[in-house]
Formats: sequence, C-alpha cells, structure tokens
Amino acid sequence: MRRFGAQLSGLILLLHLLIACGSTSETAQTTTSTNATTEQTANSNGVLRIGTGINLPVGLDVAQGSTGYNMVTYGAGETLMRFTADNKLEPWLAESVSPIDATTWQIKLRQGVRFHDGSELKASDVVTSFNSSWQNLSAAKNFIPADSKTTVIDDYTLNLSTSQAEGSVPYSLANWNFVIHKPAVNGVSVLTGMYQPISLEKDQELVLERFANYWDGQAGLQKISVKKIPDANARSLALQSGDLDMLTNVAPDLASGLPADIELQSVAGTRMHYVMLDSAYPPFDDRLVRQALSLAIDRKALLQATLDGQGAVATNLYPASVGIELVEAQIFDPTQAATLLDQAGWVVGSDGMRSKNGQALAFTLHSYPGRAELTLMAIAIQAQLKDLGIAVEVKEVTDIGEIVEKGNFNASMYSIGTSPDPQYTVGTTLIKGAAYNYAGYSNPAIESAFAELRAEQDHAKRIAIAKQIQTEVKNDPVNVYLASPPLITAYRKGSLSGYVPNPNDVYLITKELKLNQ
Amino acid sequence: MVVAVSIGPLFWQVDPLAQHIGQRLNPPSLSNPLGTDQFGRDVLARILIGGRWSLAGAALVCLGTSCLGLAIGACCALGPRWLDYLLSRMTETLQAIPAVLLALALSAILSRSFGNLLLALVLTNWTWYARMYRALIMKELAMPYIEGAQVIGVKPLAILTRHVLPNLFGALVVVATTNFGSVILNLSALSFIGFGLNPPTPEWGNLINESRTFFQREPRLMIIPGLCIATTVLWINLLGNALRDRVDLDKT
Amino acid sequence: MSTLIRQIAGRLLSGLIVLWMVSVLAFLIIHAAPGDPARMLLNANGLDAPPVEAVEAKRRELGLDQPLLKQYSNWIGGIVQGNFGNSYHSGKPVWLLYRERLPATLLMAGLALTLSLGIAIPLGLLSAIKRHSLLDHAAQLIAVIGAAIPGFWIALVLILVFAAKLRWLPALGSATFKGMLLPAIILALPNIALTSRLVRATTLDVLNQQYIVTARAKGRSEHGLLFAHALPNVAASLITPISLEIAFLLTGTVIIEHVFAYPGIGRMAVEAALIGDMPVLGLAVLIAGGIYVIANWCADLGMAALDPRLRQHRQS
Repeated sequence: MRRFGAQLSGLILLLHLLIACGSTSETAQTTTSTNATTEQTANSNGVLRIGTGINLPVGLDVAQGSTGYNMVTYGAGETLMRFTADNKLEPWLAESVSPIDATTWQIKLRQGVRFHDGSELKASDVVTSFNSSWQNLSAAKNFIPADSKTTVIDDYTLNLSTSQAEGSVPYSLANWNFVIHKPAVNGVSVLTGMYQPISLEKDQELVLERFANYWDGQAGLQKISVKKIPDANARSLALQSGDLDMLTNVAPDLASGLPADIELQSVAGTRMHYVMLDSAYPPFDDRLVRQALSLAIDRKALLQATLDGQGAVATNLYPASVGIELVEAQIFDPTQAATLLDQAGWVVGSDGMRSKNGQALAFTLHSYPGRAELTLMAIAIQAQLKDLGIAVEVKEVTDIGEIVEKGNFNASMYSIGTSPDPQYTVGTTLIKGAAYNYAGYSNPAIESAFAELRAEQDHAKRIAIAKQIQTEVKNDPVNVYLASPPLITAYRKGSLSGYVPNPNDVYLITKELKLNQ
Repeated sequence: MVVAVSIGPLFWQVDPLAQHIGQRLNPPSLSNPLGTDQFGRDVLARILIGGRWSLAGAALVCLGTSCLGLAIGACCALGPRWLDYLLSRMTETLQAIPAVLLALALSAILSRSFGNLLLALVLTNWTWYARMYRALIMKELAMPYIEGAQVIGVKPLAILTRHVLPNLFGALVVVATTNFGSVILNLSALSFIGFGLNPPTPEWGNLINESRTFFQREPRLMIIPGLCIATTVLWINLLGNALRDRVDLDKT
Repeated sequence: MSTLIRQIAGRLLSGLIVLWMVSVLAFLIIHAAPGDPARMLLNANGLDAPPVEAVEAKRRELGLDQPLLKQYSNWIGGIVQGNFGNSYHSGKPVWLLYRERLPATLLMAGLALTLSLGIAIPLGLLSAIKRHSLLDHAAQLIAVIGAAIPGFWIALVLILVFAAKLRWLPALGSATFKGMLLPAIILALPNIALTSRLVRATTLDVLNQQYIVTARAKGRSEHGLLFAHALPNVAASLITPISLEIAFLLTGTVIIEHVFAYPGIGRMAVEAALIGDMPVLGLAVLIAGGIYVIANWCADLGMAALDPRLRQHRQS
C-alpha cells in the first residue's frame, strides 16, 4: 500500500512537471512551426539548408576554439591568402604577399574590402587581427611564431618580420587561424565574408545572411542555415525528403546507397589517415619492421572496404591532392615486406605467425571513433597483417589523445588535416618536439632538410627539399600512410548550381553557389 | 536459437573474421547463405558467433546479478539491523536511478571492453534481485523449522546454506530466466550505441550498429541480427512464463 | 503522535541518506571518468589535437588540477547554490541544457503514454470480455512479441519503411507531432503489450468477484456491470503500473532519442556518455534520484496524514 502511494505521488509530481513545462514547450513548438513555415516560403527565395555532422561553433567569436574554421567554411570569414580547387595558393583579401628580405614579408591589401560593420579593411585592422589570433588561438603560433613583428607602412600595406626565416608565411596566411577579424563585440566577431552570421543555436543551427556590401559583389544565396544532425542516416533521409538541400562530409558507403535523384560531388581531401608507430619501443624500434609494415598494407583494398573505393591511396607523407610532387615510397609489396621481416629476424612459425626468440610479432593498434572509417581501416589492417604473420589487436578508445600523449601505444590510427605547404606536414609530424610526433621520432637527415625548407622562400626550391625528405621517409618510415578520405557533398539533382568541390573543406561556400528555382 | 549458436559454428565452419574485399556486400548465395558484409565477411558465421557473445554475456550478467543479489539479500536478512538499513538504502539509491542511465554512465567511465559492459549491467541490475531475495529469505526464516534450528544453535550461515538456499533454488532459476530476456535486450542496446566488444568481434547489438551505414543499401545486414535478438528473447520469455507457472513463485 | 513524528523523521532521514548517496554517485560519475575532460572539450570539434599548453590552461579553468576532495566540496557547494556545473562539451550550465531539452522529451513521453493507454485499455477490456476469441489470442501474441523486440532495432526498421521507402514521416525526430509520432509509437509498443495484458487480467479478476456475480444474478446487463462495477476497480488497480510506466517511458527515451536524433534529454545523455561529458550525466543521475526521494517523502507524509489505520498498524 505504501509503495502504491509512493508511485501515486510520483505520478502526480510528474504530471505537475508536465504541466509546468507545458507552457514553455508550447511556445517552443510554435516557434519551431513558424520557423518551418518561414523556411518553406523563404526557401524559394534562396535559403540553403545544409546538414552537417561536424560540430557547429561554440560561439560567433573567431578568437575562440574552432569558430574561425566554421566561419571560413560557411562564407563568413576570409583570410589574406587562400587555396584554389587545384590547391594553388592565391591572394584573397591581400593583393600580394612577397618577400623583401630573408625574414620580412610585405603584404599589400586589396582595396575596398568592407567589414560587416561597414568599415573598410585597413592595414591596422590586419595587425589587430593577427594579435588577436596569436593571443587567443594557440594553434596560430604553430603557423607563424607569435614573436613576429608587424609594421604598418600605409593604409593598404604592412610588413611582417619573423625572428628567423619562415618560408611558409604566405601559406600560413591562408590558414583559418588567421581569419581577418575585428575583436568581438557582444561575442560576435566582425568579419568580411560574403555571408554574415546572424544567429547560432548551440549544437543545433547556425544561420547566415547575405552581406550586401561584400567587396566582390553579391553572393548567390539570401540565407544559409546550417543544421547539426549527428546521425548520418537521419541526415541523408532529410536530404531525400527535401528537409535539407545539401549535405557535407557524406560517408562514402552511405553515399552510394542514395537514390539516383541525389547528385554527389566527391573529391579526395587534404586529410591524411595514417598509422603512427612508436619507434622508441619494440618491435617498432627496428627500422626494418617499420619499413616492412609500410609495404605490408594493401591500401586499395583498404579504400574498397572502408570508403567504397573513393578517396585516394597514400604513398608518402603528402596526400596526392595537395599538389606536392610525390616520391612514391609506401606501395603494397607483400613479398618485400616478408623479406624485410625475415631479415629483421621475425620468422614464420608452424602456426603461420612470426616470432623472434620466442617472442611473437604482435601489437595493439589503437583507434578512435572521431572518424568512422579509422576503426574500419584498423580492422582491415588487422586482417591483412595476419596474412603476413603479424598478430594485431584493435582497440577503440574515446580519448585517443590520452593514449598517444602519454606514449601508451604500440601503434595508433591517426588523422591530420594537411596543407599544400610542404613544410606543414613535416613540421607537425616528423620533427623532434613536433605537435603530432608522439613517438619522439628523430632523424638527423630530416631535421636538417626541414631547417633548410623552413628558411626557403622560393616555391620550386621548397618542393625539391620536400622530395628529399620524402626519400628519407621511404628509408626510415615512422608513420604508415594509408589514404586520404574523399570529401563528398550531396544535393538533389538540379537543385543547386555553382558548387565547386574543393579538396580543402574550408571552402565549401562560393560566391556563385545558388539554389535553382 | 540457443542450440543454433552453440552448435551452429561446428557445422558452419566459415571464419567470421576472414575478409574478402572482392566479395564485398554480396547478396545471399550458396556459399554465403546470408550474404557478406562490407569486408566480404560471411554474415551467417558472424551471426552465429555473435549470438554466442550475446547469449553468454547475458547469461554471465544473470549469474552475476543472482549471486550479488542473493549475497546482499542474505546479508540484509541475516545480518545486524544497521547493515540491513545501510544496504537497503544503497539498494534504494541504485533503484532511484534508471538502470539504462546508470549503465550508460558506467560504460562511459569504464574503458571499452565486453567485461566492463557486463560489469556495468551487473552493477545496475542487482538491486531488484536483492530486494526479492531479502524478502524470500526472511519469509523462509520465519518458518517454524528454521526457528527450531535456531533454537538448537545452528549458525546463521549454516541455516542459509543448508536449509534456506535449497528451498529457494526453484525461485532462483525462475527469477533468472524471466530476467534473461531483458538482459539480452539491454546488453544489445548498449552494444548498439557503441559500448562493448572491440572490433572485429561480432555481437548482435554491434552487428546492427555496423550495418547502419548500409541501412538503405543493404537492409538485410540490419534486419537479420534484430530478428535473431527478437526470436531469442521471445522464446526465453515464453520459457520463463512456463517455468513460473510450474514453480509457484509468491509475489513479494 | 510522537511515534508518528519519529517515523516521519526516520523516513526523512533515510531519504536524506539516499539523496547523499545519489550525490556521491553523481560526483563519482563526473570525476572518475577516464580521459582528460579538458582535452576532450578542446577536441570536441573533430579537428586536430589541441596543443598541450591549451589543455593545461583548460584544466586549470575547470579546476581539474585540484585534489578530489576539494573538487567534491566545490561541487556540492555549487549545487547548494544552484550551480550544477558546466558541460565539458558546450561550456553551458548543465541545468540550462536540461531546461532546454526536457520539454521535448516530456512531450514525446506524453504522446507515447497517451498512445499506449489509448490502445492498451480498450484492447485489454475487449480481450477480457471476449475471452479466448481470435482478438484475445491475437492481442496475447502481440503482447508477447512486443516485449521481445529490441526498441532500437524496430526504430531503424520503421525509419526504413516509413521515412526512407514510403516517405510518410520525417526520419529526423523533432518536437512536432509528425516528428515525434514514430519514436512515440516505438516507446509505446512494449507498454501496450504489458498494459493490455494487465487490463485483461484485472478485468477478469474483477468480473469473477462475488459482488459482480451477485449483480449478474440480479439481472444487471453485462455492459451495465462492466461500466458500473468493473471499470472503476480496474482503473484503481492500474494507477500503480501506469506510474511505473511513466518512469519506464522516461528511461526508454534514452536509446530511442539516440536513434531518431530527437532533441531531448535522452539523446543528450547518450551523446554525453559517448564523448565523456560527465557533468551532463551526473545531473541526470541527480534529477532521477531527487524525483525518487521527493516522491517517497510525499507518499509517506500523505499516507501518515490521511490514513489513521496505518498509524495504528504501525504502532502495533
């Protein structure tokens, strides 16, 4: 009887809760329904509804977190330089960036660029913007050191001097960490893009509106609404039903299941998926074993199994799509891999598995759920290496950072966004003390070539040095490069025009992009 | 279904982990009666082995909760009053929080492994058993023959193992069976969300999760493991009902 | 009377103990999680790993560099002042997140409850009146099957059929009628199974009771009997299971919301668990525990105030 009473009062309590919340939820509902109607009517007036699984920014201040990335992606923010669809570096808000001497770059600004508050972009704004980036975005320092000096020459000219020669400055100026902005007012940065952010509902929706005074003429859409929908299936169904107009980052296997009235645009991205080996501990302290591993993986089969054959296989540290001349080093060659392992003393036993002095050739391959195909690739690698007599245990963890930073790994799946700047990937993964060099790998030949690369301002010469480094990677690999996943964008056939696929996912929105009536 | 997963792999000797990328996402055929998955692995073999994990896992959870529940129920019934009070409050605390929520939190805390998933399920499910066993044992203790035993000086533990437990055995089996089905459902649900076995080991819940990308393209990958779960739980529930009709379990 | 007060005090005390245990549990859930909240927070955008110094700064900002006991006292102190901590993921106060998401969940649970009662009660009554008919057997079959089907799976199947193939309903859950119809049906399914069986059993029980048999002997019509005598009794005996059902619905939403990407607290909990956003899970635990304890207190007080017999009974 007492229990019954407890439940009865529980029920009453819940009913009260229901009633209490009834008022709020009613208003919530009406707002959603009005939203829906405005959207539907407005859609014919050019509202592009994008569905994404990637997190929306936490705020509208580009000096916080990865907001700058989102702002450039959705056409609100711009940098001084940018990369074209074929990965050529070109001026954007700058007119030119050219070296004056070994450590100084002169930046000439485009005239007539307007901020969203109506004011014109001047050299002093660029200085403020740089200082804000250096001060607030810790990654910005990795691109251009924060001790660099900026000098305003006139309204449209400034000099950037670095303490030592930095050949990568023009490339770095294309990074979203250096998005040109005026410090935030009420948490909203003032930017220069063709679209202007007008509202953000955290984790739900970001809305942008056409900026009328855009320096390069009118953009093709009146509004852009970006909705975060974590579930990939739900996203693709919403596109098919017409609740969304465009999807970004569609999983390849999902994409090929879409009906024929959906148009797919696929381009191999600039991201690199790879296996990071801990070169400090056995069995990967042996260069031969690392080299064998780099030849033991059938990357084509990997792509087939995990990315529906889309994307591009990798053969060295640069993805094929970034346009850096490649030295093809890591190509599937099981015979050579077996020979190398035999040479290293790991011989095949009666059970088909390799061992040396009673020690089995086995390791744990860590992975993480951040990108779905990483764990799938690990599973495929596990099966492939078994054929070669190597036992692999795959372990997926939520926080891969904790594993790799503490060095608690044999091998780990990893993925970084790369850049058409040849220096970037080397400087972040292969140099002693580099951000993603978790194994503490160090190779004197690469160190000295990198120093040369860093100081070099001429593009052709930089590419030549990059080739030298790639040859070194061939002989002494620490990472097994796997593949670049494709960037797939989907929309209903004939519903959009002016979409230009760009391997750099930050250039999703172009000025010409518009909805067809 | 239980028979199928226990002896099935003996007859269907296809490696559930062997990948054949060339035979990716093949439809059902003679060599792969249920087709292949995205790695070209045989779906039938994966279902059979996956079922072993699901059923063995659920059985372990039932065993674990039964033991823990019985032990705590017995402590409450036989121990001093303060212990009963403390344990009862603990039971109440855990009952106050929905089991799914708690299991979710626990699986997020413990690192991802099948053992930890089972542990989370045991830790969240024992309270129901503990209450039931406490009541059952107390009822049994009130029987005249127990009082007799106490009078002649038999120790409480001996009373429990020699007199009470044998009488409770029937109830134990019924309780565990009726609970088995819902444990399978909970286990597969958490494994579906992404807690549980490390890949590439199959389990019914994570088979459904893996199939989500092929949801529109190859619905069979999602439908088959679900049907397996549903039929298994259905038969176990029916068995549980039949057992309950046999052993007259007093509702407490 | 003093015994009564003592009893109430006793119940209050044990409620407080439970509440304290719940708080310890919630704290442990928040703080015993592996992985570095600071890094996970910075890395939540899915871009590349954050630099080490940024992680260090974030750790200090979140107070994670302090000893555990200090963190507990900070946390409890905060709660007393109505500060439940901030989400590692969005940085927003956790209670605000709940306030935003709760209405959607309650709406869906409400719809599911309406559906399940609206279908289960007539179904149960009909099966009881027409015992052993085709309908009765069909209802029994549905009940048995309904209890065996995994909700997350049937959700996917229904999305495939109604959203992908027929395109009648949206695949995305949303707080509109169409958007929550599918998830609500799936939530209601196991409840329909259970409740209809229960209604059937209770009705049969009542119909076999002496007073009904007497009334029937007196020549009352079956319909009159059903509405005048049986129904009120059936209704009374249903309150307990229905209140249990509400609790069940609220937990059932956890996984269903995840499948439908429905913007309620269930999806929030799953996402929080997957990315290790423990303050969100911690508050869920606190809320559930709080509701339970308060409901128990209300029940005890109400019982004591209303039922003198109970007082007598307890004193004896």
